Amino acid sequence: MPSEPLLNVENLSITFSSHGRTTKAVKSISFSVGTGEVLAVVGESGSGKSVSALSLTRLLPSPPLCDIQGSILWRGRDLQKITEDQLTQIRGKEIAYIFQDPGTSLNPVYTIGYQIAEAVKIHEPTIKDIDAVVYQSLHDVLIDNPHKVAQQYPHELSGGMQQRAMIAMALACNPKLLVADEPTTALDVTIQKEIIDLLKRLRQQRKMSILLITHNFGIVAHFADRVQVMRQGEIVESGETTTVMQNPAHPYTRGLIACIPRLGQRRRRLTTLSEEIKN
Amino acid sequence: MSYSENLLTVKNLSVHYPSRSGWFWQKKEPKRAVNDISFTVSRGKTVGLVGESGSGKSTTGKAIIKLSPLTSGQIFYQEKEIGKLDGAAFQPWRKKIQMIFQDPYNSLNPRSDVLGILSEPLEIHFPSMTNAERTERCVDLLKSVKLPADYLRRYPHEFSGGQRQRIGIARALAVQPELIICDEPVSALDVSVQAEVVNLLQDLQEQLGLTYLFIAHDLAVVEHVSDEILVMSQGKIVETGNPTSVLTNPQHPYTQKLLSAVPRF
Repeated sequence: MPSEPLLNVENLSITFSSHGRTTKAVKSISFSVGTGEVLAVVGESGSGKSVSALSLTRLLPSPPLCDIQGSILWRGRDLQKITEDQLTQIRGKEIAYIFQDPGTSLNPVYTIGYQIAEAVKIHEPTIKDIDAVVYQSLHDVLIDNPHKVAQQYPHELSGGMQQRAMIAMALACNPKLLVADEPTTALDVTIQKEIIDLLKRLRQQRKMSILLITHNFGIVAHFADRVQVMRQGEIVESGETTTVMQNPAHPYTRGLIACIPRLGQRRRRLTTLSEEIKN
Repeated sequence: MSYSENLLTVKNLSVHYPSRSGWFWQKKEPKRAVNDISFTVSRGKTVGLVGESGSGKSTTGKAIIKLSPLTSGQIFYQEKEIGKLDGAAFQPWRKKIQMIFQDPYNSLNPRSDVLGILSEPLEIHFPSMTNAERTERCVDLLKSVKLPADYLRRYPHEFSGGQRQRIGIARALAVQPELIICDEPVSALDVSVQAEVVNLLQDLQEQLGLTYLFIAHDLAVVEHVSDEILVMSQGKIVETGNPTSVLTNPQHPYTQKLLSAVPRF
């Protein structure tokens, strides 16, 4: 989907320092996300995919613990250079996040409705009828009885419902970019399908861009327009999803795809990544 | 030992959790987590148990080693009924049946080093072992899960998810079990690490003649490892058979739904 870039990241490097040791988590990567586009970032744990997503809106520890270099252009403005107050206008409102584990990302002592209302109050202070926005956002994520769910606490909901509530919260302020960090890893296949179908629908309805972080190639194949593969802080391959999936150019991408057990294809042993490919 | 010896036989197993709520904590209908299921596991084989969250698959696994209370039904280990044994009487079977848990982050004691984690089951089940023998055995265990011996003095937080899961496997192997209940052993791992752990489990099965009850929700992984597959939904087994036939030609609507949800590429 050709479009003007909404987010343009150039030469992003992230370095963590602790106890005199430094770790380069992300090494000078560049990528962009267009309007209405779904970009998937895949890679193993520790490849730097989550960290690069968190760095977009300063969700990482501040220096000297963590040092971020490079430019993060959001609709033409460099997010690295703006003040904290200005960033608050963007974080949560224009760029929203959903995380892997809804059980620990939601606040256990407040109701779902309260938590969604909180986000709306901060970002849309002019709205009078906040309850209506809360119910509408719960309704949008296909929750049948928004009034009841709004009064419930996170522990009263199943994992799938919690993730819907998280999505409702993220979408309540109509973000332009949704960063979904392994949104279905903690869920089982049937719920996973429902959540992915829901994200697909919402993306179409709202022309929203999505930065999808995952290690599930099945989801990538069905959802993403483009995919980039990360290994040890670097992007080893990127391109159109169909191209990368069908003709992976980099041995690491080929290795990752080969590791996945597939239905109806019983092999005696699963393929693993060799040390060479991993590094 | 005959080829198809039944190592584990589960007959009409039910696990119901009492539930109370509302005014005066009134008794309500119990939650029927597992409802009248029967199956057998043959020695040296892998039986895969699939189903979505809440279908009762983990409860079934836990009930076998008494981590969940049995409401009714019988569990036989070979010829012996073990379902009604309690405490000390069950101890010898805890040595034969071990478990590997889903979450490698929460299932290892963070305050204990690897030596401590691996020697605890040895102290319980082999009280006559000397310290030197125990340490030697722990080194062998690390080798068998392909970890270097110098990891003995490290703590769980120093390891990655895949390494922790290997330590969990080593702990299960410590007491030389015959049956291992694997409760979603690879669900929390990346695809590349998942493949390594699955291969390790299969190698160990061949080397040690282990029997697995493999609980998972990833149908492709279950198809890969299992000799037989059981599909659970709402506390009941809805379909059984060999993995290829169940997954290529599912009979029950629930199995069909589960299969259609798997993203393919």
